Amino acid sequence: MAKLMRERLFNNKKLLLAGIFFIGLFIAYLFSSGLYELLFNFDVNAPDLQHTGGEQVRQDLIQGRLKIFHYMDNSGYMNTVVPILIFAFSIFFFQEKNSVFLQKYVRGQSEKKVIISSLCSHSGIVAVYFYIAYLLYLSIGWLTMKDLTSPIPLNSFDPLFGSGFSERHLFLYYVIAGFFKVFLMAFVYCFFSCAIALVVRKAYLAILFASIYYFGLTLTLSLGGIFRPLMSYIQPAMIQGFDCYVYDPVLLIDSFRPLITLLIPTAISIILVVFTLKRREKIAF
Amino acid sequence: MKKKKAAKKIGIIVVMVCLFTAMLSTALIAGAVEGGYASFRVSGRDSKDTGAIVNNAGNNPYYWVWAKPPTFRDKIVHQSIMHNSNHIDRSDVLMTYEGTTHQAKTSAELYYYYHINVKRQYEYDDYATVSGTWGWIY
Repeated sequence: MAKLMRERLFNNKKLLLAGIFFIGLFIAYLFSSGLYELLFNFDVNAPDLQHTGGEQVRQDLIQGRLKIFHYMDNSGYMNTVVPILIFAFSIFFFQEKNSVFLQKYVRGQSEKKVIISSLCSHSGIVAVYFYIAYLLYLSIGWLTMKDLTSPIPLNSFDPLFGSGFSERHLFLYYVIAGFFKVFLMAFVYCFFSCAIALVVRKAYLAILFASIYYFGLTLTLSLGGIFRPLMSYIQPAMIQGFDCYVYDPVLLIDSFRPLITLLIPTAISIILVVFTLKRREKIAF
Repeated sequence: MKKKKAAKKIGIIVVMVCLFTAMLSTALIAGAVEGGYASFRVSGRDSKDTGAIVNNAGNNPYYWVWAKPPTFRDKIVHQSIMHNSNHIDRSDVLMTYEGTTHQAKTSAELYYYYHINVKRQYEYDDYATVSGTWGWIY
């Protein structure tokens, strides 16, 4: 048992995926903030830079990008690449389902306990990996960025911690927001893709179906039209919405509003687990 | 009969005054756009280049952005960045939340044309149209 847990925790491939997530945060910042353009693709001899000097302007613009607010603004990356990284973890669950599960059943362990504990431990490990990577990224940014303030008030957690919480404790704000938008997101969506892996016969199908849900629903709902009233509540990408809305006035429900998007994958996961537990193999003679 | 004629006259005067006011205000607004500010309107998830304005405010001036407050939804944040006519950055990214005015320093040079590129900070949020105006600070 301890060996299985160790294998789940310290798998090289899982560490590689978490490493990709961590490095991806820096790459996302480099491109989304425009820093890449300024560092490698900036024309210092442009005609409209003669008065101040091209190099001076470039340095000024680079300094302007070294702000914690831009550094932590990685919602585009979190909504495009990260879901696939999370879904990829279901491959490990799928492998376990086809090998270890049967051995456990033979030893008399209950099917319900085996499935639920495996789902929870896989999802928990992904969530911890990603949250540690996020906290490491935040800490590096906090030590290296020049400007540690937010140009706009982030008032999502004001009902919980008092007015002006993000201005007084911006680091803590990002730690708490990260718990919701990284830890919980990773846990719920990994659980979701693993639950799909329970009922499909190929590992890639779990990633495919989970991706269809996440990206399909996000794109469909962002088209507007008749779906518009539902959008803020069920759009999967809204889990990243802790620093884009400024609520006026801010209510307690607003602190948790992005979490509503996690209800649907949670409900589907529960249905799939119950379906698996109720299912009986049909043998034809 | 007399009352009808009087009502007609009043009606004509009211219409003329309205037309005159409309024409005058159009002229005033048109003059203001020429003189230093431009409007923008961004729908959905696109980013939008606004109309270009010549920089008469000096070298490295500040510019302001005002975002119109929404009516039926929560305020969202949008970001703008100044570009020269070759679409190269000439300012920091400026975050503005709706209903407020924010300003930022630029690297704009006198007598060159510049525009700002506006988009919502969070491109996956609710489908929304944001609008506002921007101009130089003299």
